[in-house]
Amino acid sequence: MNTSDFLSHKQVADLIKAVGAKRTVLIMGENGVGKTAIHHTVSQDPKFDDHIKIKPIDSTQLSDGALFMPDLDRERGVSTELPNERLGVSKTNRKGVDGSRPVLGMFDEIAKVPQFVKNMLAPILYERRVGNYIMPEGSVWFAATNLSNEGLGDLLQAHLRNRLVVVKMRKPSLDEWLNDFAMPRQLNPVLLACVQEYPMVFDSFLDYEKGGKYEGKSLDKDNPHIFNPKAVQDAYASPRSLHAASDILDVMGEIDAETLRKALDGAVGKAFASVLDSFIRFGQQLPPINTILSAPTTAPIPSNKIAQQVQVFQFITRAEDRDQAQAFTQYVMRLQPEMQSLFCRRVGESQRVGLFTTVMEFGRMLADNKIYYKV
Amino acid sequence: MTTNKQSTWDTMTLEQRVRAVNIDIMNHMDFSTLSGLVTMGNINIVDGMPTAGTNGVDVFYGTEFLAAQNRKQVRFVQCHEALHKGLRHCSDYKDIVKKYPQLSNIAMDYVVNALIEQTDPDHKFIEHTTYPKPLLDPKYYNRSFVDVLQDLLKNAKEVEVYKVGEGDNAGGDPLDEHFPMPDDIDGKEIDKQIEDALNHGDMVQKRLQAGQGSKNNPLNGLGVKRDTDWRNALREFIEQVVTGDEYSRYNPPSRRFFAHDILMPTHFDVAMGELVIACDTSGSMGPIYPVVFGEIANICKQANPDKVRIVWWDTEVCDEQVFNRGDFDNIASLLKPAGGGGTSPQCVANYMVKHDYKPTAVIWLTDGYLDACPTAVCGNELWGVVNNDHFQPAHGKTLRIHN
Repeated sequence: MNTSDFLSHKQVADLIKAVGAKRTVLIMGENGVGKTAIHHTVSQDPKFDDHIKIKPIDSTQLSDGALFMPDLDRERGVSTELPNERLGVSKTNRKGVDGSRPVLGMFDEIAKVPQFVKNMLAPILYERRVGNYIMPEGSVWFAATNLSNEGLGDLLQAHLRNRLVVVKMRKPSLDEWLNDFAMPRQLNPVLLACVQEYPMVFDSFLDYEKGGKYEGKSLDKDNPHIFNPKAVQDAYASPRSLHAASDILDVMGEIDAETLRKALDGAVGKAFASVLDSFIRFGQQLPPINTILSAPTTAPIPSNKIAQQVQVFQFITRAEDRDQAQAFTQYVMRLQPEMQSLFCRRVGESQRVGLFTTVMEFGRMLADNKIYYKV
Repeated sequence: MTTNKQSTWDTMTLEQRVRAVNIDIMNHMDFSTLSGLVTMGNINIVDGMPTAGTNGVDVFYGTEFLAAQNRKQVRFVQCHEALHKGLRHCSDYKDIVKKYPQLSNIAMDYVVNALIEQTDPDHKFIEHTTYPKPLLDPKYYNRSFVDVLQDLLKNAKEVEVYKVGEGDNAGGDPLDEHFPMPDDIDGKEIDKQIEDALNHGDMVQKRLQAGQGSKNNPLNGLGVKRDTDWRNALREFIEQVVTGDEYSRYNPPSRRFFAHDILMPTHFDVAMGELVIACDTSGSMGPIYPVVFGEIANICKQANPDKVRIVWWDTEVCDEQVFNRGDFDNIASLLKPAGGGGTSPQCVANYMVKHDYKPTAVIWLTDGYLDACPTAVCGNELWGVVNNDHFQPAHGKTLRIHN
């Protein structure tokens, strides 16, 4: 599927801020991409400072009694409907009553609920009304649900969809996730380093469908880390579950290695937990960067050759000036030829090639390794 | 005047040749998945060794053998040895190897060579060794070691086994020796190193591809452990799709208490329908059925679908068994598999259309060696694929069952 008709988190939030008081926006997106987090983003906007902010409501737990209760007025011979307190509307807070404050709310997982609950929600979504109680002017309600092709039972009839503004929200890119979510919330640095090496966790199963950038590839084999609607998975990496992994990594000093691994398995799935586990091990084996920079000819070399390769990749992205490039080059010269060649090649492909080409030792390393490139 | 210009390859020492090949592999678009594995352990060049070998960590080369190979051939051998390491052939199957040493070696070579061949079918990067000629058979593509070994055991008399480096077998010979991993090596530590090597290789390969390409790399997913608990997954699926649900609502309210000014909700059930289980009757499926149906019986007792219909098929539907509520206890004991051989699941789809069956969910149980994937028969399909990580149905969810 071509995901070009999908919006980013920011674009969806901006749309709701702009039009949410007039129209109900329904966000469709794959699980764990941050649909519910849109509520948090919108709530932070000063435009909604005066609103009564209702926490996202999990629609699957609703029955009609959780929205309103019938009330009998036998004297007048009528029945009415009394709204549930959580909806923010009441006798004293409704349209036409002085001092009333508009409401900001979200119905999550809306397409998964039984039809009779969808019917009960309709007046709120279409008219901002519960029974005879009309919400104060400016009230914003929006809804979210999964994509129908995720196979999670999300169904919304055409006539219902037609009365909503339906938009699709994509997974964040690595940069969006890092800059807009992970860094501001200070997620665990091991996780941040790992996802930068493994940006494929931000790919989507949609990328592997017709029209997607990986059309023709097997999602099952190519990217077992992410949600796959065609496979039974215990867990997988998504922006939401990466956040959970960060919380687990934050307390890794308090739990043993086996508990850590099992917890990560349960949060992000075995495939990505294995990658995180490798990163933790590499982190334990590699000498600190400052040690290498200050004593490149004597700093310890990890015995694990895979850790050495990880190190080589890191050096290229970490070198900030010529002195650092020289120190890293001197250190790499102590590694076996495979690592030196890997280093030379990756430097050549990187944008920092200019830093290294002025280092005399780098030129010598290139010359020494020339033999391996000639057939 | 004649010139004897030596190529760079000829001027290299034997160890340099292996290192040069490692670098080639680390820079190749697809084989770079093996980047971590090729650098793991030590390279040992040994006089008198007929070909090559690995103990799951280190690689050993016979001096004469290595000297006789060109660069593309050494790439083939290095990839071959790296895959033995990555697939844990020297550590995970010690008991099987002890029991069937020769056939195990052959089966492992078939698996490894198939992966290399599928990755570079045009031999742009690798070249087969000429002596011994590698074991290769398309029927073993995408098969696991145990699967290939079982097949070889069935046909053991037909398999001619040669000592490594001897014979002139047209079908190929084992390329190398697979030494059991020495007991003094910490198996857990090596297991972690292999895991790290596979993860790192995957990352390097993805970087080189830079997110492009539509070709499947057969080497992807080597390190993925597919040990989803199929029992839980089966339970979740059945409960989710065939379990009825109870709801209550105030609109309309219960009439029973209404006259007393008490508002109580009314209750209603949403009943779910029939579960169809379509069973492939290939020989390999026989042993799994008592286990899977024992589980299904337990789940159905709780989920209580209206009906469970078991359809036995090979190239046609051979029989069906129907179990109604109250009979689910007996599912496992009353199973009467019918048919055998042949794998055309489309017959089930046609059969269901013909009989106008409209199940709530269909569970396919198969080994995945099918002539074609059938047309979809309902919106909820689960494919229980036994001992086969490669089959991917065109629709429905896949549950890998390892017996």
